[in-house]
Amino acid sequence: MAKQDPKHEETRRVLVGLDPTEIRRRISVEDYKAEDYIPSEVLASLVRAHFGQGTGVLDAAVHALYKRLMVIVACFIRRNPQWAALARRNSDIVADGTSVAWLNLISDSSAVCFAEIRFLTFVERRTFDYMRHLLADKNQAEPDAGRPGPEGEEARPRSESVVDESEETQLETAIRKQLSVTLNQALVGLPKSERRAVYLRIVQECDWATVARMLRCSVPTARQHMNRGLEKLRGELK
Amino acid sequence: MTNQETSYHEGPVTRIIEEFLSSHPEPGDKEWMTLIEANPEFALEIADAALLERGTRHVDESAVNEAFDQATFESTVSQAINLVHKTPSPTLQAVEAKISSVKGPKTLALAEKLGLGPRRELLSGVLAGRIQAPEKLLCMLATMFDSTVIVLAEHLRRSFFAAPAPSFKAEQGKPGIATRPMPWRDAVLSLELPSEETLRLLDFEKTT
Repeated sequence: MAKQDPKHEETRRVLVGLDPTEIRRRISVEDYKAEDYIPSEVLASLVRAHFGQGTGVLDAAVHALYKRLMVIVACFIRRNPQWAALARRNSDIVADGTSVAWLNLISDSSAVCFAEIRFLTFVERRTFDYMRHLLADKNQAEPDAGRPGPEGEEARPRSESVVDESEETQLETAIRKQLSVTLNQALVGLPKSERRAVYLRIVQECDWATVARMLRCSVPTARQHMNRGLEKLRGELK
Repeated sequence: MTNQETSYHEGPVTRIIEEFLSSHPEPGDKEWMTLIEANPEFALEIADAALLERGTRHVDESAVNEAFDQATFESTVSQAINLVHKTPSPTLQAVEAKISSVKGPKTLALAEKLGLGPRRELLSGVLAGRIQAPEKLLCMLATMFDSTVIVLAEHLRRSFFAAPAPSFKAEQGKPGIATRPMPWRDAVLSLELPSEETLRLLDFEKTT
């Protein structure tokens, strides 16, 4: 079983012996520096155990913890502008991210879940995973123009590629040098195959055979994905 | 609760990335590439995670005092409360199953293991919620059942309220139903044990 913070353990032991009215009073303390403030890790334990159901303690704990969770999700998304493209796409991103983390918290079957050990990190991880899920879902139906067809190696001839060989190298170098927050933000906004091709080739500097293998396509198709992505990122470099 | 929630599900890649982030709180591109190479079947999902993670700014404890959208909270909190009430607690169910398996000779064995000696009636009373377990015993039981103090305390509280009311007539005075568990001290004293044994059992009330 995962080890809990001794200070939190002590708070849990104290709470077990208290009257429901006193527990509810302590739950209502919002200032995290106040002496009676109940840490979120302990509230998570109360909620997961359905502690004090029928006495008002459980509902008070849910209310307080859900609020903290939503505040952290909102704050985490706000502090990371590189996710702006995803936030723009889903106006309910905070509510959705919160409900995903909430569901995870109350359905976790382990004796002690991560939220009871490090709540802040738990919320960040859940939010991060939710953002990754949104990103993977993004442009699910994107046109796959470069995918190999049954007859030929690729549906679109190489000559139609938007960037030529020498220009591509210059762009690659320029982008590698300027992987700023703005550029990262633009990268997140690219369609799936384009952003993955750009990431693997430009950021990770993989050779073309590796990029193609990971994208599960041919080398020319992988190049095409990256070139399209680079073309879209060109504006961010100006 | 929301549309997104229904389409969201954790896959094996979630676990892989979580474990990776636990061991690399601030991973660089090289570390991500190592992870990609170690899990080629999830290379693209990991690439997405790496891209999202670049330059991530973390939140600290002071975030709980930041302003937030009260309207969004008000419109969703009742769903969160309902969800808790209609979702059985896995931890509570687990401890219930473990405690219900402690019957007959197992009770005596457990009582001895806990240092209660042959006083299995005390342990039975505690496990049925009739006797208030002292903090020390509660902690020991939580460890034995691979659970936590909070979960165990809630289970015992529920057991007390779920116990059927006795149907026999009172032998002395008016019949009555206990509205709260019997304190440990009263339960020990009611056994009228030799003083040494009584003191030993009352020692469970002492907090360490």
